[in-house]
Amino acid sequence: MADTTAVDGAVSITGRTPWQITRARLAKDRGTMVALCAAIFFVLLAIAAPALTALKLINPYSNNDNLVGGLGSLPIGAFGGISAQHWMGVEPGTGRDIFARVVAGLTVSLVVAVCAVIVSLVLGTVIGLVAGTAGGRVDWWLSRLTDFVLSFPQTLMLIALSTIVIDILQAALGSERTPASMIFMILVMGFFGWPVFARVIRGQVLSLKEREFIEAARSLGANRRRIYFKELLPHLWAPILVYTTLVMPQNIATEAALGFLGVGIQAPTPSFGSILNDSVHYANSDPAYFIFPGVTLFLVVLSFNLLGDGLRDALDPKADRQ
Amino acid sequence: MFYYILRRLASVVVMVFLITATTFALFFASPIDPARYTCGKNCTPTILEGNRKALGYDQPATVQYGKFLAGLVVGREFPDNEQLKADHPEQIVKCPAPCLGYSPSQHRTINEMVSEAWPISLSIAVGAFILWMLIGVGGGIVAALNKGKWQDRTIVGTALIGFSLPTFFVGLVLLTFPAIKWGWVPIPKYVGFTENPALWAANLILPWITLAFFFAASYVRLTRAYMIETLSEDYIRTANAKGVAKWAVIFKHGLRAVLTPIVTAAGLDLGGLLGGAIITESVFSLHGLGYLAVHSVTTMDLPTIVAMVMIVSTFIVVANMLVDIAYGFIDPRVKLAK
Amino acid sequence: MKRTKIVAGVATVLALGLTATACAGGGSATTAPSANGAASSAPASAAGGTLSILSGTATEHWDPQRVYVGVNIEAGNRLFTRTLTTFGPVSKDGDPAQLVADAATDTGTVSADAKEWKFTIKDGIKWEDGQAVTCEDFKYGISRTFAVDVITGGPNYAIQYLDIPKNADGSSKYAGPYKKTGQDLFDKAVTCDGNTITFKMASPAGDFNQALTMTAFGAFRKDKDQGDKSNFAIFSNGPYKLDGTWTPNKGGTFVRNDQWDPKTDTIRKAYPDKITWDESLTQETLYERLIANQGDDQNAITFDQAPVTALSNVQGGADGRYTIVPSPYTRYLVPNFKSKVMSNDKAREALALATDRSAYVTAAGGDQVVKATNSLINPALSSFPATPLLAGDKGDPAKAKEALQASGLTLPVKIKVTYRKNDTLDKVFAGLKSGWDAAGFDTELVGIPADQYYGTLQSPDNATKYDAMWAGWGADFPSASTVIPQLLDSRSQISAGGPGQDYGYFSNKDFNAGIDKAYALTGADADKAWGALDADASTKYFAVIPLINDQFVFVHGSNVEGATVNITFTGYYDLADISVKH
Repeated sequence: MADTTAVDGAVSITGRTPWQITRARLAKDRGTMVALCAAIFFVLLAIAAPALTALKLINPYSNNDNLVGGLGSLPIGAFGGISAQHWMGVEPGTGRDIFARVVAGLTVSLVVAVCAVIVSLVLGTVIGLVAGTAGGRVDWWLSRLTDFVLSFPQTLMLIALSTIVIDILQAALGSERTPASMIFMILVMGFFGWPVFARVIRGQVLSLKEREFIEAARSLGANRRRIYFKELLPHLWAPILVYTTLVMPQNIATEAALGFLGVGIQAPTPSFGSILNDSVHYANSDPAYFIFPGVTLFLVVLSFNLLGDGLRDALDPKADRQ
Repeated sequence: MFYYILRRLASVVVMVFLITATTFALFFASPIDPARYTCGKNCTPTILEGNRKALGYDQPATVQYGKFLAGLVVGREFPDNEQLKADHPEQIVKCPAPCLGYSPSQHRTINEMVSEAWPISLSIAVGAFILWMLIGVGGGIVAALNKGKWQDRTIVGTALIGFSLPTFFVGLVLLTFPAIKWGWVPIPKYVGFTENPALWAANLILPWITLAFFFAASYVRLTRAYMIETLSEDYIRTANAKGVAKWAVIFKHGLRAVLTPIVTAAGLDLGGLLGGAIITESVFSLHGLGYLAVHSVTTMDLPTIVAMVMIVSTFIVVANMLVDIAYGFIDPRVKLAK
Repeated sequence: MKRTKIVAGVATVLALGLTATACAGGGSATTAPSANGAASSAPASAAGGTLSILSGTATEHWDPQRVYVGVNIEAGNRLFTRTLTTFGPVSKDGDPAQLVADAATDTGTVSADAKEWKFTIKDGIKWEDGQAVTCEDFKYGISRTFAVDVITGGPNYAIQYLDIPKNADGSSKYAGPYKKTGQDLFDKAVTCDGNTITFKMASPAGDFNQALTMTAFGAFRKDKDQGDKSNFAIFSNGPYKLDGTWTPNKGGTFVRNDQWDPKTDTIRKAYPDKITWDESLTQETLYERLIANQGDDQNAITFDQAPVTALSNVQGGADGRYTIVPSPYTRYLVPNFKSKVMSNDKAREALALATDRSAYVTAAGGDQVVKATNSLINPALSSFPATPLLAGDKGDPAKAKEALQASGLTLPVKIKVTYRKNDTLDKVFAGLKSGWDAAGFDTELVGIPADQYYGTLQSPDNATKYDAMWAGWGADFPSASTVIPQLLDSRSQISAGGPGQDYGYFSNKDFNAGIDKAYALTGADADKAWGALDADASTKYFAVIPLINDQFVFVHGSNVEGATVNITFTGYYDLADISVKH
């Protein structure tokens, strides 16, 4: 891709790789850069949370019974008990620090969302690659398999399978309910997410297959593995990245929605879902408990969505630059 | 075209069969004993055995599945007990074809429960659909036509916010404030359309807005993206150069191309919603198919779980088929393969 | 709308002036006081109007022999299933109720050895189709309990009390009126002579006439029996009948039963013309509506407890319309004698000493609605022993640690504690866990969804799975014999099919002998005996760790009058003398 830049009146033409073009476009898009910073902030916060908890800088698990009281054990003090030690107030009934719980919940929610996307991505790319390159019967069967999985109602299956799968996982793991429910969410969300990737990858592969460089590689005697890795994959990172940014925030939102229904990550492990599941009932009596985690969830999802939009625009060769 | 439709119908049947078989296998191959959940407190082995026999859980999963399929075609009776049929015919529940099963915890045939829940989900889905299509597609067109200007930015910004807010959050805020605290609308409770259309709409307006919030946002983005792409095509430039009226360019030429992907997405979304909007029905306590499905899972009512998965999947699969067929009609470029 | 608001405001001011605390029933509206068991007499103009019952809990059964939930026992008995005896209504929240005759002419004649009870059924009691309620109807109804494979879910006091031999596995030799196996045995135990019904007991039972207050001992018409299909097919002999059908998860409407003769009924006043029952709601929504008190909701009551999240709004928004009364329920922890850790006596003692009940109280809404206790028997019963807490409200982690170290187990001791999952108990157990972990335990918490909870605990497959289990129990009728033996008598509970209600597999010969002795006593001696057993269970054997007694919080609409909570009879609003202003 050639690009003309005017330097000291003289026009010079410099070639740029697709990645450089993307980066340049991104840098110019302020909204996306803000979203990127926000997303990085949240990810860093999520990574730091376990360390912060171990260092006792934040404490999501200890009760502070003295901070709640009255009929219904609501937080004492305005706005859900906000104070210098408790930036988002405290939880009704126990007095636990909401900020600490939200941060710890962010970790859980992001870990689940990211791992689930990776599962979908890996499964989907492999299936899509194989279907696209093999063609014929293999392609037909894999496409039918994709249709089959897509026909299952994801949310319903997540709810329906939760008890059974978590029990099986617990038996396999021995104990510790939390990892079992996290693994369940990752596996099942990841499993129902792969058809999206498979379809996209297959489509890309099909259109790439016709291109000369593949034919050239094959005529040069390249084996299948070389074709997959050296010729095809480099052209696939763009759609993979695009769909990853689409699916990530959806996974975060799905975990929260399931938690709202009481399925998925269980107490005492905080996650957006489990926190909101409790706080929704306090919407009328202690709105701060509902609003703080709700707004945080909204901001996290928003920043990833905005980042995804920006990335898509930057990666799209046809997009109008104004 | 006709043969295409036939073949698609056949594949729908096969797909639904496979889905129900898989679901059946998933639940009846699980380590959980289904009869336990019909028993409640103080379950003695005698009662457990009795329940297991009465509900047919002592038979292998394949036999049970066979009976389920047979019931779909010719109907069934519960309990499946010859002795009881002879001695106490008044205790037998008859379930006419297509029999989806009998729920031991609700003491009713699943057909009954579904026929009660279905109009509620239909009402929610259709109302929300109309609302979101009008707002979503309309908003997307306006945004595309005013690309870069403040109308575009506002619409895109609002859409992004709507897309990022969790549905249950929106639903809860709508329930808490306009309904309960301020009393602008009644607290949602289903009133049949045939009974009282005005009340029907007034009770459903909040669920409609909740769903439309998210979907409209999604469709604004979709429509805007496709519209912008189409409007930059050469043939649009030609039409403009030819002096065709602006409105004609947008709607006759532009929208036609955008319609295909929009219709595809809309068809699939509506199909999925007809099976029950789980979150929305939960938030507003409307007992549609989604609520029924969740309720059956919390009570481990296995026959109902299987039936619900089957129903929802059927909607999705049929919607897929209809959309593919519609594709052939809308887009003249698409030749449906033999 | 505005007018009612002003009226409510005035009433609130008056109520505030008249009442001191919010405790036992200070908030309820006008009720004419009445000394004896007869219903409080409201003026005749109270008749009429529609009472609206809001519910967030689906009714499982209306079939009288299958009803085991307090709400449905109360509603069933007051609306459409008369029993031989019942507990009369009360004039004030929290007052004790008297055992009175309902369908019978008196509260029964008992033989000297307490093994035979006789009742005479009143004349003039009719079913909703005009036919008379006969002794045979009562006999048939009671026999249905024995059809354990069809008539499931109900209490099995009939099987326990009546003199019918049992099989080796503990089941009765009489298999119910559908199979008819052993019908002659039943016909010997329950006999009808004209209008007189005679019961023969398997062992002395001085409180049998209290057990008869349960709807499971109500009459049933043989020609209306459709087995499982009769579950919601209400056929009434009380003041109301079902209008149309009952829709699960939605509800139904009750209208007057014109065949009910008020002259035969000293208990039910049946003031409202119509009663609507809506169970399609959630607890939160229905309480928001009751507090908001708009439109038809002014004629509403509920049997659902106020959720913790609504309590603060109840105090503010429903002043004068809410009541806090002791409930019959005790929540407790059961150490599992079949688990390695909890079979160790010192470990159980350590767990008991380290239990922080104040965390439970706070998480459940404060000490107005939850009270710490160390007794299984609830305070409303005369046998309440008021066993003192061994280590105070907060427990004593230091003392507990000593006990744990004396146990010989390696610290930290890993334990798995399970409870019925809901938001409040999640918080409760987070608090309890802190206390236990401070004493040297390493607690893993497992929350099991409500619908599967007791089934999981009672499954023999899970016998060694958990170290301690949360449980709740309420006395079925005001006798400790419905608490201690039901929960701790290994002979009647533990079988090959599971632990029954003795979830921890507690089995102790001395304790069981003590139960036998207590059964044979009456009056104050019986109270003392049951109380001593209770205290032993929690302080000597550590077979149970009682945690708290619930208080019930109820709200009613502003037009509802006579809404008193009958804590002796189920602990809910009593429909016998309730009315609506109209």
